[in-house]
Amino acid sequence: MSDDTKLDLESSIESLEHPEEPHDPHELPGASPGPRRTPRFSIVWVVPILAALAGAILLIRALVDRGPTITISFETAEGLEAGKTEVRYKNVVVGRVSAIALSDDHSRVTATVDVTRNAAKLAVADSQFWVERPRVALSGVSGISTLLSGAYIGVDIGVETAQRKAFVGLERPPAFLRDQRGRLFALTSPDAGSLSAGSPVYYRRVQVGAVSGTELGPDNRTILLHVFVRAPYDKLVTRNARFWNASGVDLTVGPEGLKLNTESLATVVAGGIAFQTFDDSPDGPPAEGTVYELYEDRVAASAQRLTTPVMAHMTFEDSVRGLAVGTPVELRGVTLGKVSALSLQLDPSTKTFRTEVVATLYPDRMGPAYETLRAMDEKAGRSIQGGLQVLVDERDMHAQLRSANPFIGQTYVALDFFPASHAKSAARGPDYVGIPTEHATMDDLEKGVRDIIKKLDSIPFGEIGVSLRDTLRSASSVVAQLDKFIAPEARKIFEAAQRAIRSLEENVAAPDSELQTSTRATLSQIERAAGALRALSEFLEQHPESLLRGRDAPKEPKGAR
Amino acid sequence: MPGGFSRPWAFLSAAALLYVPANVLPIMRTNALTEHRSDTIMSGVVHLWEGGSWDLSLVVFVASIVFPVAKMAALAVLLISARRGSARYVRHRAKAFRVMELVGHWSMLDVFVVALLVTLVKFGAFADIEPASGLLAFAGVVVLTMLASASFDARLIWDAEVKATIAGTRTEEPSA
Repeated sequence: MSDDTKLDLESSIESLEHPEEPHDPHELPGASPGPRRTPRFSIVWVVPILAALAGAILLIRALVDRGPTITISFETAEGLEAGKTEVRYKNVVVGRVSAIALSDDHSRVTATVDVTRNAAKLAVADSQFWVERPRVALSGVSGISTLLSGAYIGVDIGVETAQRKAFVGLERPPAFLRDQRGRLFALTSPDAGSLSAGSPVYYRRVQVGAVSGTELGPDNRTILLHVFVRAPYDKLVTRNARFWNASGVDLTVGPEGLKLNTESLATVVAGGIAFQTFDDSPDGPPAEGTVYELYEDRVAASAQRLTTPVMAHMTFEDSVRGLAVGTPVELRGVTLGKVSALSLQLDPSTKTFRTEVVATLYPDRMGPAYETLRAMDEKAGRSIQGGLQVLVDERDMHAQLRSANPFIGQTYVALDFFPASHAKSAARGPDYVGIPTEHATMDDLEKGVRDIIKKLDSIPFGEIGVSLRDTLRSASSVVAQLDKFIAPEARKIFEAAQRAIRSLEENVAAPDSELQTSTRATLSQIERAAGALRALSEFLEQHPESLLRGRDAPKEPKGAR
Repeated sequence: MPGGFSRPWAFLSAAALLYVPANVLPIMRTNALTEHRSDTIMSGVVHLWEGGSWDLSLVVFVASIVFPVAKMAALAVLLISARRGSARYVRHRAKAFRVMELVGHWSMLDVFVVALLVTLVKFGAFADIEPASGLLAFAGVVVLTMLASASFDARLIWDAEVKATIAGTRTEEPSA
């Protein structure tokens, strides 16, 4: 009863319990209960007041926690469940689908979402909602976590302050979230190709962003692609950056031969965009609202320079077989540009056909030569186009069709200098360079090749073959004859020789052979003869007179013996 | 005894006030792997019924919805009739009071069920049950109705008859 400031349920009950006991007995005899009951009346009623307060607090808190209720319409309610599907922002649950209903015209599904109080600000005018469900696309797999947890509604909270109640949900997740740092760029293209929202954007084969959406251009004849490039890569998109469609396989059979170019395996099937800066000229961030052109391929993108191209007109009198839009125009092997149009014309007066060829030239591709040319032109006070025209006029720069690869019929337009040429000077205009043409070398070359083939044709390969076969046949018959007649004779000779050698061995080489014995006897006789000769020569030395007188016969026998 | 009326009235009205949040607010939140739901008493009953356990559903319905309402209504009727000094159905009223006392405790069933579930189901990310604010209100309702019936002096039921007996000098039949 003492302090009524902090009365909770139990203590108030306790305090109410006690004061009654001393009062009750006193009250029994009393006759005037009115004035005494008033103070106690108020204390007992603290309990319901507290209960009311508690109830009110609980209810209010529940109501306050609930936050606003919004509706989001989707094309389908696939994966959505009333009371279960959550709304998540950065994977934090910020709401829950409380009901799903069909729209009035049954074309869409409306999900009612109870947003939690602390996320009440997410329901602003430019917030975006989408259903996050497992998606398996060629460019990648997303939303794997939703396989287990079930689909949820993702939200990208907008920046505006105006609240909104009804939203139209996106059918697929946006390519980027608003708080993701980076920049949006607009590209324009004649058609979207295989590009769609979510297609990757590459810079030197590193994925740096994605296509966030495509829409029809204002004139309904081009496609406007919105591309999001993540920070810090967005700085790479400079004024000179060139975007090209990196979809699919770029297989070119050009004068240089076969060339295969792909950005990444994913883009081969799913499509993608790549960008790069090709020249080193001073660069900077693009102006606000810059719309880049999306080139069909890397070659086209790299060909496109900042300098304005120079148009060149050429008139060919001969066949232009192999020439097509895109055929390179080369100056001494350096590709300056390409043929952008060609048309067959008929001269009514002479009734001759000729082909008008328009080429787009990028003179800056000459490199240092271009700088020199430009300096010369500046000095002379003329444009680059004028400079080229001067080259045509003074140096006899003419065009000629040449065959780059006769076997696949590829040609190119060669610009070269023909000082001794008698070609007709070409018509010139204010916005193009007229280049005279020379007769194609291709015809000569073809003729030469044809001649070679004809000569090859005239060689009697058949006859040569027949006579060769005859020769071989006679050779083989000679060999057979040799085999038949010579071989047995030869064997006999060999056998006789063998026998002779064997008898030689027997008669000469054996130690007891006749020859050996007689030789030995002869040698000993010769030895003896030599001994006798030696004795004779010694006797003659001592008795040279004996030659004249002869030997002393009577004396001799004693002394001599 | 006029003083005996204010306390039961106070508890009863407090219980009645808390009865609103107890039924409107969820009493239990279930977080399962794929399911997050919060149940009020009535949605729990419906959930059980739809799940096929109609018997359990009926028990919960009677214990958690019928009993508290019946008890509060009965107490209110008893209090009003005693206050007005009505002498009718005195015996029935006394009997109703005793039954009410006996059965009122069973209303705590729901609170106990949730308390048990909360302590038993703790499987982290897979399943988790937590009590919600409605349960507090509901427990308050049950406790307050019990306090109300406890503070109600059963003798008040008979007071009218006693008064009538004194005033009318046995106009009605005597009672023991």
